[in-house]
Amino acid sequence: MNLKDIEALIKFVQKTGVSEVSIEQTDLKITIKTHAAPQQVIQASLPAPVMAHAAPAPSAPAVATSVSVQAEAPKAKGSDESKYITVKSPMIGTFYRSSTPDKPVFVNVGDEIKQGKVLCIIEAMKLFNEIESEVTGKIVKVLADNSTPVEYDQPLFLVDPS
Amino acid sequence: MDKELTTLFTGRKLIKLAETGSTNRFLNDLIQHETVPEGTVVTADYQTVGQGLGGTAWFSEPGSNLLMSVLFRPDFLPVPKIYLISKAIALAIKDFLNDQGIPAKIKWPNDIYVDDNKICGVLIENSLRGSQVLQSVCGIGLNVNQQIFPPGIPNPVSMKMITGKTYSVDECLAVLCRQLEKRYLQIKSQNFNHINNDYLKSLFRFFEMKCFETAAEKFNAQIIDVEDDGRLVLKKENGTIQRFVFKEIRFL
Repeated sequence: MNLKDIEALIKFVQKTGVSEVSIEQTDLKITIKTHAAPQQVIQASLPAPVMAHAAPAPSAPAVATSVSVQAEAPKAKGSDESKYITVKSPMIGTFYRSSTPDKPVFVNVGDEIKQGKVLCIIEAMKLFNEIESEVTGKIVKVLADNSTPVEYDQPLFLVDPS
Repeated sequence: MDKELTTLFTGRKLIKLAETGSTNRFLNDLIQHETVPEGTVVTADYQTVGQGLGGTAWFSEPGSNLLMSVLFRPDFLPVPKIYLISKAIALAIKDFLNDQGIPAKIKWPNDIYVDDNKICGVLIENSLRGSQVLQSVCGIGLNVNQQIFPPGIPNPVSMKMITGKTYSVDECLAVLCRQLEKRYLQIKSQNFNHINNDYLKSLFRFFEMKCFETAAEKFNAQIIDVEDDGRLVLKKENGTIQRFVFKEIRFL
């Protein structure tokens, strides 16, 4: 796969409106993620021959694309975050870390959590939706601020399942 | 009113409390500690923690009103259709009131109004895991016999204030359980169009040109639709169409 191919792929993924595409070939793995954010973020780490810095500007307006390209070279060190599970918002709404402002937060970074543990509330159209964890593990990062709007599929937590 | 409980499961397990913080909280706590069958209902004569949105106090005279929570497990419902629970509950309450000769409407998203006055509030708490809706605790506060409300409550009204009759709260509960189950089974049987059409037809100010307010402006508009995710669709006087989430828009 050459640079032109990647460029075409990014444009294609943006047009389809899907949020994430992963392609794996013998010597190359590409993940393209699109977000409804105003700025473009490109992260790429890969050995030559593919030129990471020459990634093209996306043509679709108001869609940011992040591309991470990882070479599956022998013993690619693999970023630490790859083993984490991202808990995403199942809906558009407001993100709350506790049931009421005077209550402690449901989870903090470093907390060990079990499957079924309540992580947060997403309030949408006067429905209060408690989001339970699908996995057992440890909270590594909280990715959204309390009492702020969140989009569909927006990452909320990183969980280390190991 | 036919006070007989004729439901399959709604209200078959009934927990009656003289007083509790809130019936939603009680039912949520109960679910943590034991297996609670679907349709379980908790009622209270009095709630010490007025359960309104964002701490809005909801004053209720002990024993005068119907304060209840019901448990459903809509695990058949995909998360993007979760707003249907809100529609079904609001419709059930509206149906119940209409059957008593009270011309109730649904004020978006799910308050129940008679003319410009609020007769019932709804607070729904769901638990989701991944793409699955595990349970839905639906809290309902219906003004039945109360006639005097403390000042500061904007526009309350009760069933008695409208019809002049005194009602048995227990009978209201039995009849409302039937309506709740009927509407819930409609969504369970994937009868979404039926629910959506009835919801729109029942909307307070549907297609009326009325004044609305956002943080930025006041304008005249008509409610022309409610999206699947619950967003209110307004058509302004100049013909532009805009969608709003709850709290972005106020009815004037």
